[in-house]
Amino acid sequence: MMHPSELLSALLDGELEPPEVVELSQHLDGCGRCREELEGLAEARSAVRSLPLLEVPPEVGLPVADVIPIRRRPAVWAGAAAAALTLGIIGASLTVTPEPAVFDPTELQTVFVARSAVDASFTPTKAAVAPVGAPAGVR
Amino acid sequence: MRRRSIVAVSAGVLVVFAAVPAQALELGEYLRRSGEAEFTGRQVVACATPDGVRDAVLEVEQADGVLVVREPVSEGSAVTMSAVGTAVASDDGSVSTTVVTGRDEDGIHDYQVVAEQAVVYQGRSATEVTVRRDGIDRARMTFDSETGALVRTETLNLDGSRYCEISMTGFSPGTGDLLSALVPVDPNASALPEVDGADLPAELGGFDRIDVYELREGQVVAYYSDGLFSFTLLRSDRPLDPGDLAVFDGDRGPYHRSFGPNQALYVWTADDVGYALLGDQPLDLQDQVLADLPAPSTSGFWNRFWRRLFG
Repeated sequence: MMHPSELLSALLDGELEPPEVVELSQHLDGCGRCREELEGLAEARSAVRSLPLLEVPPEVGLPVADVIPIRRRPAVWAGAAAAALTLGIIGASLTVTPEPAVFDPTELQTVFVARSAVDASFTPTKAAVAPVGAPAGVR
Repeated sequence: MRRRSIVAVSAGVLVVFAAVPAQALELGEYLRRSGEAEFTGRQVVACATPDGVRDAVLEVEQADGVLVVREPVSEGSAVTMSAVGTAVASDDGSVSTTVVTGRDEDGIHDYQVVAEQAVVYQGRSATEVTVRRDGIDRARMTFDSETGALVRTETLNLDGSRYCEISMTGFSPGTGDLLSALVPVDPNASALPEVDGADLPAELGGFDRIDVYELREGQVVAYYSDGLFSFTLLRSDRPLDPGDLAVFDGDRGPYHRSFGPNQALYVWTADDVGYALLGDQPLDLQDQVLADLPAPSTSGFWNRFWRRLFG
């Protein structure tokens, strides 16, 4: 199944043509994966838009030659710094993913047969899962 | 009793269909007898999977509640299974023991024996039974009449196609030389601690959660069974490294998947939680179970963003 992830953002921006909207809506009706992604996009956009707007100092529009040292208003500067710090922390946390745990399929095979062996329905067929022969994870 | 006889010959198996006895045994009774049987043989496993045929040949021997499995070509690699633990010996000489106490819960009542017929399996009198659950035939099992041993099993998918066939060749009652070389279970090995596991689903795809164990810090393993098929579900507080497992892009998202002889392994991550599922159930039952578990994460970036802002 194809997942038109690149169209989801355009849908939220109202940039799709009506036939594209219809087609995408039909896809979303049957695809939980894309619905989830669309929901995440919408919520993230809402969160970003809820951040405080910063007032741009008037000196920003001057040519370089006319720039003179400016004493910025402390409240605006503090707000800008806080927002930048928050975004920086969020960005850092987003890019740092949990270290994956080592997974040994053979260990899970062993636990399976060990538990099966004490099961009332145990049969030699369960032994085929034992970590001999072709182990799990190996073709 | 009217008798009709139809003789079919195929691959050394002579099947004689006879009238079905008026009183068929319960499946649990067949399996109980099979667990008490003493025999040796070779177990040939062949499964038709979406990734192709998966097969294996294993030497097996059972006596006094102990089952030993070994590869014919590798005398150093063997697995000993018993109620006191499972010991695995590898080619390099290392031995590990896994002890699981388990609960002797009998869920076999979910399956009914719907057909029973006398057959001849490798020259020996046997009984073939068909077992059904929820109106669907799930297995045909052949039991040796003299010993009660399960000598052949066909597991069936929803559409009636065969998933796996596990047949005993060279079947012989009594013990051989495999048990004399069995790997002893370490009597000092500690059992996996059983934990509550209430936060894991009590039922998945028609399989009941039987018990849950702590594998290590941050990882628990739950055992699910429907009375015939079973699987273990590993849940980790961190994503699991799937290694070289191939990716299967299903409707619910990407899984790392691998099929082996009578086993299917799925590994995936959902919201930074790692899952691994290993079981012997047919293909449609694998899908049923997965459908009841969290789907693989699709856009982790946005999920994490949402959680960081709002918890």
